[in-house]
Amino acid sequence: MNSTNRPGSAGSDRGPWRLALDRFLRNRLAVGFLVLFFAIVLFVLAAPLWANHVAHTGPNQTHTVEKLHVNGEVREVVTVEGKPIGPQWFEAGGKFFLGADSRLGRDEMVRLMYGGRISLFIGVVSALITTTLAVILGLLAGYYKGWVDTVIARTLDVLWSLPVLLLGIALGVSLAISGLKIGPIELSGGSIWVPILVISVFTIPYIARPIRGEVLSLSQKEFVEAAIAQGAGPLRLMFGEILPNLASTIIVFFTLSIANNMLFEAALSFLGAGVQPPNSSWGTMISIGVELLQTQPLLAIVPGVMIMLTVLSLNVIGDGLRDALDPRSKVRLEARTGMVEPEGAAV
Amino acid sequence: MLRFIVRRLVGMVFVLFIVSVLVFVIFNVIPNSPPAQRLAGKNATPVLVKSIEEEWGFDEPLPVQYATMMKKVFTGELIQYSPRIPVNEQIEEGIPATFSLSIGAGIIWLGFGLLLGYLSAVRAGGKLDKLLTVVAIAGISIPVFLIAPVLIYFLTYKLEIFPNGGYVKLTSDPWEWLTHLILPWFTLAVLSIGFYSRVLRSNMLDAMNEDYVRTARAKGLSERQVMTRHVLRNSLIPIITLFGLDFGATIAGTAIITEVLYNIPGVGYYAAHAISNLELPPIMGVTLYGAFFVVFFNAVVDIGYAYLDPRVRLGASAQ
Repeated sequence: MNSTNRPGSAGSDRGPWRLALDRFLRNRLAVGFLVLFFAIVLFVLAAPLWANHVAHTGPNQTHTVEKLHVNGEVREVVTVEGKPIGPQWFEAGGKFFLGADSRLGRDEMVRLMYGGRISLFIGVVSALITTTLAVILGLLAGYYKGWVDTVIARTLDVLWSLPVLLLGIALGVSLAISGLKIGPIELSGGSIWVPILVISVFTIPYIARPIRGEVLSLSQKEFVEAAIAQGAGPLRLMFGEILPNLASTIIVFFTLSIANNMLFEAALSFLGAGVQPPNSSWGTMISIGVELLQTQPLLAIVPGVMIMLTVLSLNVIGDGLRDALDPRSKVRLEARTGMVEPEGAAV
Repeated sequence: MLRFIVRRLVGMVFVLFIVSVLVFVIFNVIPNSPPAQRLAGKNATPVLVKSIEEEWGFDEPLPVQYATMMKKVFTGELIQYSPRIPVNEQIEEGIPATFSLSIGAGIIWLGFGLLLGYLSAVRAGGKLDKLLTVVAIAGISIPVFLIAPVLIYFLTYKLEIFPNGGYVKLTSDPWEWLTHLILPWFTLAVLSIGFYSRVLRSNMLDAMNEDYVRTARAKGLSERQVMTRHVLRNSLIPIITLFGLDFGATIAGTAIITEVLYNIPGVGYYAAHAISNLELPPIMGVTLYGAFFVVFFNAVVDIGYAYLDPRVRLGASAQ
């Protein structure tokens, strides 16, 4: 890095993105958690490798009567009383590294890796959908003002004041029982697109409300007036002028919303209203694991720790991005299942 | 003030109407299977399905079906079908446990949140502040379904300090009531303690730069008086609003998960069991009653807030 080139100085030849990157890289905590997040992603991506070459089993394969030969002794994967085997670490050559999950005798480590794929997939995809919809709604409301704004803003207010977890449970269960059919869209009850849809819909206000506020203030700025004077139409104003200025806010919200949505998914799945069998996520693994908490505590605690590490790293990365992209900004979206954004912090 | 209250109550009724329509749409319109079959539950006989179909009038137009559903909810005729029990009785039975859990947790998180936030703000930048920052960030990121298993495993199973889940009525044995609830309270409160301490800290740091604080110092008030009477007091109003919103959201949110983890037979526990048995009427009932509570509490908080701060009452015209 060129130390003579002070960031933000008038003579800087580097663009704002480059400056933001430099600022982000100087934030050791954020970089550390970024590395951790990539490690988690690699961990879940490696699921087939571990399953095929180390554990030699699939995430849903049961081993009710199998026996392991470890150091010359024979260990049952599931005992006659239905008690699953504990963590073997590398004693059985990587088989049942974290033990078996229940009387079905499924390999917990393999399930952890595959479950993480589903948790992360749902988190990222629902965050993409939520952010896209929220930005479009925020742009329309903030740009057109008048009745368009009234309708969108009031709808968001109502959605905001609803008990989202309860409605998410209701929608999740209802769709899990019978699937969905609206025009060309058809989902079966067990599809992981059901929780994705539920989460995407109910988290829109957390992003759309602050975006709307920012659009309202951006549309008063000189560069928008200049574009209007040049004869720009509403589409160019919204997507060509205002949207690029929202980029940093959107990136931050997207990151934080992955974390928020993963917690939402875990809560739904834990209660049985999210990911349905045979699929599993970290949330469903915890709900299976707590039943054996007394004898096999790791079954519930390890998936919980994975969720915590992922959410924590995304929150720290999000905060780091906010500081790097716009040091003055105070907008925030709080990741929590209670799901209320502090009005005080957004003002 | 009266006009504000009326306006707020009208808004509340409107939101509740929207919730009920949403619930109706979620259960009776969107799903892709015969509604009577869904309501009847897993092991329904054709006779039961037939009778539910007539009872709910699923061949009628949608608005009539909606009216039927609402009538059932208001008259307490909403029942779960296997076994046949009225939903509202089950919910009423669960309310004392749910409220014991939520109110206790609320008191703990408000108390600790304010205490830690105040200490952080007064010693901003110091060692204690930095430690509390780390604790708060960790607290915000730990989901209840990690805290609870860890606490239960170590404190209940290993050290045997606390009883293993369940709930004892306050009226039958206050001491047992307390020991059964301590872990659930803290489980529910940890997240918010971290969060509230951060919010109070930043509010207080903002308030310290205000003119009235300089005036108070210039008057010769002691540092402690400046902090408690001027800075803290003015920083509390946003916290109270936040608490109102969070408290409702907690009862209808994380409290459900906590009840399941600790086997507390509250409303959320009832709903969770209905989920695993795929019983829709209880979920319908709990969603509607939960929504009523959340919306009602939000309205009460708004009115209280307006009473404390005239700017809110007058709306935009005051600015």
